Amino acid sequence: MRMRRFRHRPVIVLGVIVSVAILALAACSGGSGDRDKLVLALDWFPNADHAGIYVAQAQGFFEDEGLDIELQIPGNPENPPKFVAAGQVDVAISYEPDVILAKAQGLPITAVGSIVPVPLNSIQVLKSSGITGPADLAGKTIGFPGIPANLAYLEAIWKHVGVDGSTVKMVDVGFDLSPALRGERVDATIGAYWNVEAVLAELEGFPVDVFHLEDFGVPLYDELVFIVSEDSVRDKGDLITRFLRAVARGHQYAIDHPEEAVDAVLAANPTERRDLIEGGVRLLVPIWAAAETFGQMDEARWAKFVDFLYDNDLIDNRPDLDKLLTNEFISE
Amino acid sequence: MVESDIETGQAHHQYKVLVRGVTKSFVEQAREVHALHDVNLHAMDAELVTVIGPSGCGKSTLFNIISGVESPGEGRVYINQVEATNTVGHVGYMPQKDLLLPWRSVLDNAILGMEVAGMKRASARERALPMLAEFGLEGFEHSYPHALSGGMRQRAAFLRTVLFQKDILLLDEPFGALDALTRATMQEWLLSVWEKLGTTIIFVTHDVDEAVLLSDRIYVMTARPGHVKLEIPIHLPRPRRYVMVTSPEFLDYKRTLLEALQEESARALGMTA
Amino acid sequence: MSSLKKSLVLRRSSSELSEPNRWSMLASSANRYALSVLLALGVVIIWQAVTFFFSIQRWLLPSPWEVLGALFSGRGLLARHTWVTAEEALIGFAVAVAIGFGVAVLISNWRVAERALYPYVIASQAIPIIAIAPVLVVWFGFGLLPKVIVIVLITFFPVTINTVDGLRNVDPEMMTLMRSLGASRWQVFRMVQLPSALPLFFSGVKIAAAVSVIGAILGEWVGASEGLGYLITRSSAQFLTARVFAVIFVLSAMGILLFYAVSYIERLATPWARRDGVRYQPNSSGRSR
Repeated sequence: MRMRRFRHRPVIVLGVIVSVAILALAACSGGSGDRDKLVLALDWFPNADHAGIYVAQAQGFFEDEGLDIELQIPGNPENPPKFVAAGQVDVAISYEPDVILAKAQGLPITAVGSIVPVPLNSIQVLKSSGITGPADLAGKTIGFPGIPANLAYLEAIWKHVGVDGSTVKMVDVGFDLSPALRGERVDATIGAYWNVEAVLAELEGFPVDVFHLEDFGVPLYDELVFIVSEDSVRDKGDLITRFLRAVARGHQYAIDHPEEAVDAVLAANPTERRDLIEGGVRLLVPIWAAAETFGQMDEARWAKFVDFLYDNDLIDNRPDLDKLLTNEFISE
Repeated sequence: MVESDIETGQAHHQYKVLVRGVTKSFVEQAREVHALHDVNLHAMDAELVTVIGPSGCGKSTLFNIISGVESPGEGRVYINQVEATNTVGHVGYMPQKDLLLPWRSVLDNAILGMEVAGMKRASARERALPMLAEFGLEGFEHSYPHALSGGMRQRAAFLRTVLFQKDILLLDEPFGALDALTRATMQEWLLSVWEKLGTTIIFVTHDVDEAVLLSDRIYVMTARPGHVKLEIPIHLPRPRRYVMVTSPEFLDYKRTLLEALQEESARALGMTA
Repeated sequence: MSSLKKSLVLRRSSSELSEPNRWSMLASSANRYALSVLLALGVVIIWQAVTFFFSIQRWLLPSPWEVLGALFSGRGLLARHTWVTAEEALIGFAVAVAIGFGVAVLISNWRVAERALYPYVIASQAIPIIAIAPVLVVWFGFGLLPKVIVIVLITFFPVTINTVDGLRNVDPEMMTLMRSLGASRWQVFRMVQLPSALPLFFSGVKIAAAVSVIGAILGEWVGASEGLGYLITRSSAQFLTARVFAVIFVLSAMGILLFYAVSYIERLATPWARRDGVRYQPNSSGRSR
């Protein structure tokens, strides 16, 4: 009677497939404990920039503040402001220029603290190329990640060093800046960080020279900042304050124990290279240590950068500074 | 002749199947096709009637109308003295192709009609199982159709038709696809089964030998539009055996039929030329 | 006629395989795989030779030996991320099959559904996933949902199209026969349409199985913190090219596994199409005349 059993098989198989599908959909839910849950979107894949956050996580600083942090990684660095605006996350890390651009577009977001208060973006060239400064880039090819702010930085730099910008060829290489440089498809890149890609290049055996944007006419800005929605600024001040306090502790801990900071990043992200994180943290520690109060943003400096973006036609209106950033959640 | 029978009312109540004035046209590729024109025929209880005619005389359309799946443009169909135009489920219909379902075993193909009628699968199987031997399918009840020979497939399809448990069977060229030898065996076998079943059979063929060998009466159809041209009762003794095909009486019938058919074929060709 | 008879006889004999014959069949199927194994071996040897003799930089093209090394040393990492991607792919695949099948049933049975749905089924294939995926992440967050949606978008189509064809590709004379038996629409669907559509349904499902892995990777590219797609992105950014290839190897294995799993289910679900490897074709039931 084997045959008899077979006869119903088609229907059974289909039934199983359908019910698995339904169960799968139903399983898409979860819960958390009694602490306040807070979802944080990073700006980019986990790297040395996030050491303070991972330390705070590993050392239980968030727990001490009664917070349960869930980290999310965006596939695209342009997304975090949208995540915050859409309410998908509570806090996100973004870049001052991007925050201003998003704000000028009307996204209801506000910066509430900086993580890295200087530009990390830089121009990088192969050491072997013989290029000694931006002035040598006339007639060369530059790879960039398709983000227009980079073009504005270059305009300012060309003005500063006296290069005819029209002789420079720009190539959108997406986020594959390092491979483009290493494979010599471009002579220089802009958009790569001096504490990430430059370190990686050194480790991989194609050392690069770094030209910092702020040294060649681009106004200073905060590379990495925390952003929240305007609603959160109004309603969740306490949560944000506790969050920033825990993060500040994390950064102090990282300054004091850089090796443990590296361990914390790697423990959470086994996909990452230890040597790369180590190099990046080593470069950041002095910057973090130099800050008087972690997270504090300089309103006048932000105003100047808004002007810079406005003058370079990257924004068509100057966002209200009061709604653009606030230091009110930073504990002294 | 048929008309007169009806008009006199003679034995009207005995007709198992009565087709009256059926006319059918349909549109095919934006062209009107006149398939049947005023077809009148009947079959009596336990009678084996054959409909023969040139290709395209609308025999299959006629069957679809009798079985109720197609509606006639004009005319009516009576089954067991009751009007059954456009109603399905009164007759067992065996189409030209065996149409066995490849995913069902022989046994489960045979019970298709009973299952559709709402019988439980298990009891349907129980009823079908003892009939397999009669149909030469014993030992193959769990085989899939693709494992069967052509003759076996036809017998399985016939069993399915019989098991629909109607006392009227419409068989549409059931042996058309078989080779001559298998065919002869199947014809004798059909006759033996029919004699036991005692059902009414209307049989479509374009094979003259087959028609004469099997039938009590033969209707000869004209080429399109199909119309009954001739009705011939066959008075050969039963039980019939294949060897009869060489007897003088048989040959007489055959000659008459061939002449009538040839005329129609010629007409059909002339029309298309 | 005689060739038909012969083929019937042949089918019969092969359907009554004795035990030793089964073994020889197994051996012959092993031979079939031997060919693709040989091909892979040849490619690996040439690959190794090219990287060795032309001294290609490792970050551009690692040697097969290095990929093997990355497979071994990264096995823990690979296993963890494989599990994540497998879960996404399986759930997305299952949902796609369910939706694909449901839509196919609607389209093939109701003209209204066909008119309403068919254009969108086609249009769904014109959606550039690269463009819509980031939006999905913004809408639905980082969980399973956006990945499942991406997978469903790219995999339900072959299931739907094939199943619609299968459900429609029923011999019209079979439909006439069912009607003459007085069968209801549901009976016709259950007894004739559904089983006759199964072979085509399964070819659609097999395509979906292979593609669902790609869907999971695409979904992970736009927003994930784990999974093989994430692992590729991270490994590539850190010039760990051997690991990228290791992940690709795992992905291929996953696709192959899924495909054969579906084939196995298909063989269980369509036992009539098995026996002798002769595939059932909807139109072959009545032999040509």
